[in-house]
Amino acid sequence: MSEERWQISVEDSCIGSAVCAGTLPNRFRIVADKSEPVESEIDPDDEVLATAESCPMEAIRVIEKSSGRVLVPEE
Amino acid sequence: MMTATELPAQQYPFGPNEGLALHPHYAELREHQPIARVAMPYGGEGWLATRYADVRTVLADPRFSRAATADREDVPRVNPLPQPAGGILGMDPPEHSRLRRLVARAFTVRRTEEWRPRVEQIVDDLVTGMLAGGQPADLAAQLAWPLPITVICEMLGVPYAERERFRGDTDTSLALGGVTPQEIQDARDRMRAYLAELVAAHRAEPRDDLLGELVAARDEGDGDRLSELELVQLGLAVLVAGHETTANQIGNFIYTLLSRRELWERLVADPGRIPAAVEELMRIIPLGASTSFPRMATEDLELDGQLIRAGETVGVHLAAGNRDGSVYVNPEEIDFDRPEIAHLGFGHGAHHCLGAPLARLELRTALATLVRRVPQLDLAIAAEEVHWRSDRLIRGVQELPVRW
Repeated sequence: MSEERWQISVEDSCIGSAVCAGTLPNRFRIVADKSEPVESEIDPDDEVLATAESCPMEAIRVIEKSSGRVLVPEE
Repeated sequence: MMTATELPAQQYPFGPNEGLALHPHYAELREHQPIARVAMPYGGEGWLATRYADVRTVLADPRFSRAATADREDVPRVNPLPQPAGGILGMDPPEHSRLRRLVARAFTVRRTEEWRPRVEQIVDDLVTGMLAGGQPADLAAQLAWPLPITVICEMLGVPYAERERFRGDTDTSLALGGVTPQEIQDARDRMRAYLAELVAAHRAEPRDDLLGELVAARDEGDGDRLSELELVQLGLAVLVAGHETTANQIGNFIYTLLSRRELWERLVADPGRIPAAVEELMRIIPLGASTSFPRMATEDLELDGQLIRAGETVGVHLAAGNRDGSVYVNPEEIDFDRPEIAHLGFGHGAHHCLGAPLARLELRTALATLVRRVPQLDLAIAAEEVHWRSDRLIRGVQELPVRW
């Protein structure tokens, strides 16, 4: 059982396409035409990576809390 | 609740499309019967949503499924054949996300921006060719079609010289009428076989393009990421969606601007408004000829006061939602200075247009190049004499004769 946690945030470049909220409504929601994470800190979840990688604006950031490594977007 | 269920289903579509006009019945439904019962050309009766908020709900709420509609003859729809299974447009998360992440990286705003110099060069060359060919010229044939076909061929790794191997079949596969179901099936089969050939060629000789990336993702992955059929279908989806929509929309844009000269002159005088103009034209132009890609309710639910039973389908009309007066002031007006409100032109939710950043780049570049190099561009015939494609999912001109 890993104790790793991920931090999720949505940057201001979000255009509210709802690719994320339509894919993972338990993780992202649209508020006033912009997406926001339902919880900003989560247990590691590959579905969140897949969804973050599908953001057309690369507005979703997923950070590994222990190392500060940016998992998405890729460099 | 449930009042609309007692109204008889209305025959869909409501009438023939005239050019780019939206049938007035959509506005009536949006006002009085936002979730309307409609009898579709194939598959029986379903629901139709026309309000902006309802359209967004249907497209983003996971209780509405695309996967449930795949390969089912009894799904109410406009297309003669049902959505084939295994395609990205017939999937729900998480299967959909598994495929989408493989191609999404190639179509982010950042990656698309790397294509800008190439897109500008392609547009420049096409405009030079059109001008050299003399007037009148057919802008559809000289610019609108070759631009997106060239770009998607280069991105994906499809030889441009072989475009006749997918052009006619793409057209047939998106037909709503005028062809037999067997002809549509044959067109789908030929295109799938063509993509399978391309995949084999990429496998024999690895290449640095999107199809090469997908082949690598399948062959180097653990096998769970992408099946061979999914690889072929995904490549085909990118190829088809990557040109048919943009090609028609470029013609629709130029037609709209030139037939309402003040809009064209505004962009000639102020090319800085082009990005805003692209969004506004995406909002107002009903690119889709009708509702398409219906969603099936996976449980009983309520939508804008209407009970939708599990197993019933709801279609949305993007252009009707885009003219919702509760969201846009003077929604029928074209206004390049409109406050920015996310339109539905590229859809919404998990299936929001993968290629939207590329479409924006191509549309902006086409407009910017034309207003700069050919500000005197005009229609060579009266606007009402322009011929429109019919019986197709995507609206567009047959030809667009222009002079300068």
